[in-house]
Amino acid sequence: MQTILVCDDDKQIVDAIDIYLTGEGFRVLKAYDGYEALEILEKQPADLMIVDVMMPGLDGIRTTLKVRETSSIPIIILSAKSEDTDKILGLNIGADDYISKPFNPLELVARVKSQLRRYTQLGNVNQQTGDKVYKCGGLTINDDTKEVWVDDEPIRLTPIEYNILLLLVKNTGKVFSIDEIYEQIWNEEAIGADNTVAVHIRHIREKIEINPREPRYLKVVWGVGYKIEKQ
Amino acid sequence: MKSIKPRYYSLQIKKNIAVLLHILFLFLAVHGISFIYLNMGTGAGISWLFEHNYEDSDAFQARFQEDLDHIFNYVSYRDCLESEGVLDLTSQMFAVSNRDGPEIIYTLEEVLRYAKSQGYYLNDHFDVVNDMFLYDNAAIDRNLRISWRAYMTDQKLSEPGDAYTSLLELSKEVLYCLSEYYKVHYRMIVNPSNLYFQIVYQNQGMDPVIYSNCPELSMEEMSSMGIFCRQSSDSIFIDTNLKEIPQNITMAMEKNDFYSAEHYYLMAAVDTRYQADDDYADAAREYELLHRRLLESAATVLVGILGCLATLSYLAVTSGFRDAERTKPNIHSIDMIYTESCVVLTAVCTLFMLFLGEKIGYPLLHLFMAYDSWAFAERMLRAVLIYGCCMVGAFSLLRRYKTGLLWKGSMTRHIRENISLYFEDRTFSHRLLCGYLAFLGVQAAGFGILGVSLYFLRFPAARAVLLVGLFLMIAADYLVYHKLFMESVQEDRIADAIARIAGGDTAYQMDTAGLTGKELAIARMINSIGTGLEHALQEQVKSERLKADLITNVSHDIKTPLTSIINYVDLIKREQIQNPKIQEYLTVLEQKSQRLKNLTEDLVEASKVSSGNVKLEMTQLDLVEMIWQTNGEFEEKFATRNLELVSSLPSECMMIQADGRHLWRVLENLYNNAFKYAMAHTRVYAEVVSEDGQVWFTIKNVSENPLNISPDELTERFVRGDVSRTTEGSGLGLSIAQSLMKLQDGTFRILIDGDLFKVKIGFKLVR
Repeated sequence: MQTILVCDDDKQIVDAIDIYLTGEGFRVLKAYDGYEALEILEKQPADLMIVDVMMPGLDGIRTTLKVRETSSIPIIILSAKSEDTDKILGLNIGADDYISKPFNPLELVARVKSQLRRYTQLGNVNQQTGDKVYKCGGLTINDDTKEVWVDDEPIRLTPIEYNILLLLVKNTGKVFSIDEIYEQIWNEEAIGADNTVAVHIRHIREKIEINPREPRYLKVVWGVGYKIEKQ
Repeated sequence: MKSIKPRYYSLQIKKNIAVLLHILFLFLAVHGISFIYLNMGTGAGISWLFEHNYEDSDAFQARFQEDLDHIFNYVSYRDCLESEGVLDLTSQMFAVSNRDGPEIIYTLEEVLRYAKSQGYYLNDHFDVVNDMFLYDNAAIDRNLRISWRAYMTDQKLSEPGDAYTSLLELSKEVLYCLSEYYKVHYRMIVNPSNLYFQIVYQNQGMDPVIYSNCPELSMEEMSSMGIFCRQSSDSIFIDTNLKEIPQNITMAMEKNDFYSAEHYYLMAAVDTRYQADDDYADAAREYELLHRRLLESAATVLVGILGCLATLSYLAVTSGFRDAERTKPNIHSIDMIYTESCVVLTAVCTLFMLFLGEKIGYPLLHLFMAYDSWAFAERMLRAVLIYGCCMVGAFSLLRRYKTGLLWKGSMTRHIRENISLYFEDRTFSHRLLCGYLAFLGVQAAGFGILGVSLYFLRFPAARAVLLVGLFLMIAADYLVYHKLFMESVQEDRIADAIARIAGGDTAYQMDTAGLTGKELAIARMINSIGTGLEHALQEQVKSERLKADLITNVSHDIKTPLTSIINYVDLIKREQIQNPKIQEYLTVLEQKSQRLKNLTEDLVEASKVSSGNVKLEMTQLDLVEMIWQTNGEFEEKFATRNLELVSSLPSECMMIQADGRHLWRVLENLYNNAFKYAMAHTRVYAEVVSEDGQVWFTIKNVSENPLNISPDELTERFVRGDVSRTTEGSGLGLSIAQSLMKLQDGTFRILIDGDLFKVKIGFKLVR
């Protein structure tokens, strides 16, 4: 049973998260400020920590920094601050994910699971090997079996969606315009392309992303094209 | 304090000593100048400086010439007065006859007796004097006819009256001859003299006739004595070492040649050692003394002038301060009055002193001075008085200059300041009126003077006045023009400053240097307006920021309880309560809490965007590609409300400069807007066109509700197309979109035509 430390100064939020995570089969440790969280971590190890930013005493950012001094467990920051700068700050100091309040409970659970899978899989990455296996973070594509996994969850894609994703994953970090994708996948010259590609991309995102509005893998470069972010 | 006081006193004492010394030196200089002036005689310049000896002087020259004349007279008269080398009283002097009477011969003795009887005799200087006046008809009656005169052998009687004379006249003539004879005889022959002379007339085979006081001396001996003069019958040349050749020598030699001598010569010499005690020796001694005194006086003048200058410069340097460090100003009561008054006072004092000098000083001088030198002494007194008074005034001015009071304490400045009162704090019209009246006055006065001088043009003075008047008028007119021009320049600068501030440069401060009077006041006011505007603007920006911060903080505080609400609503839902009413309530709760979430997020974004508190990452991107991407995102969403998205996009790229994420937010808001407010089962048109270097994206939809609202109002915060506000939406979408477009230098327009709602955004085409 995996242990998750939840730290927030709002007791009701901690309780709600407790209910959700316990329901998913996790053991939950509760802390109401940074010092308490550090004390608990000293006594017993946790597999993941969810921490609020704005807390009395030691705040989430400094707690994260403290934890990172001794441990590499996944840390998810939970904050009412939703601006880009706050997210960037949180991720830069060592957090693995960032969820802004108010959050969707299902999203939270999905993200917790995703983080845990990646963390525990670090040891057995070679589970799937072969020339035609492409990996990008939690995303794995096996071109032999035409299978796609996100955090060990198998994903069902249509052939076109699969081809587009494969093209992007093969060229991780490269930006493809709608016309380029069209020409590569349909093997036709794009004549005044329409929104077919964009619609397919949206479908792929809905399938592989936890929150399609804030994609982790398939990113839109507005006015230029699409790309798979290097993890 | 103790250490300061002695210094202060010592400087004062030094100054007093310097003043005394100055007076002393002045006295020396005046004394020296007076001595030189009075003793030298005018006209000779300063050549006396180089005449070291008496022999070089004009006085010697005159005396020598005079003595030569005496010697020639002696030569003329000696032979008729002497026999055997001594004066013979029996010598026959002249013969006269009274009318037809017999010829009577008078001897010297008889003549002398007669002369004595008439009161004539020779004094101890051998001058003819008469100490009694006898009126004797016989004595002055010119009835004697002269037969001959021993002392005037070559007398030619050319006129009838010449031959008749009185006995008294003849006696006086004889006395005169005797006087001349004695002068030389006693001064040079009987008594030792420094003047040696030899006059020799010689005929072949006869004894030479010698007139001399030193017949034994040779030519060489005499010429080595010092000053000599030689002339002989062989030559017309006069050999002398005198400064000027003595006059009449050759003529006198010829005149006295009674013997028709074949050969004659004159040798006269002065022994410059002045061994004999005579007039020459006296004069030489006196001359030496005077010369020395003159040199001393010259030195005195030099020392006096140098001393005056030295003390004056010392006083000039130290005046105005109480101490050597020149920190404490030394101001006397005279320095407190106006500068101009000081000048006038000095002038008045000078005049008064001159008056006093005339009334008191002149009589005092007259007591001590010789009559000849009165005029000079009075002149010197006047000069000294003027000098003294002017010095007092000049030092007052100097003190003022050093302590900065010269201009500050001047009446001109006061008048100027008072005049500027007429111009400062007055309206422009008042100032213009004053200036114009002054101009008119000057002009009228000028033309008056010109007219009068033109009328009297034949007088040279009038012509001079005309020229000067013309010049002054041109100068005055130019001054008026210059003043007006400078004021206009200042006004131009003010206008420029106002234009800049009006143009939005509220931080602009005008340079007040070179501005005067009213313009300066206006410039200051403009600067304070600019400062006030800038201040207000910054206040506004600051308050906008504060508002944004407040909204952000409030939203954060709302979000935390909202999280619990959403979570617990979800938890209740999971309880699977079978009561349909509760399910319905839960749906409402879920919807509204979601709405609240969107509202708070939009609110934060709107306040951030409108206060400009967002980061921009401008990149080049293709608007066409972007619209395709956006269409892809929304097509299915539109389909849920049966909206058909019709795109009309060009096939080529339309590159623009924008921040992709912000532009996405704009487009997202516009598409969401269309999604929310478009009438179901209608088409939504999206098109991109380029014209004149601009790329325009337009989205059009038919509104479900009538749009009885102006486009401007739609972009106001919290304004929505549906007044009832029943639909989902914060009312901030268009406001955020507009603000973001403004931040990206784009154009944002809303057009409403009936129910047709149209939004147009434009960017500059990059290529």
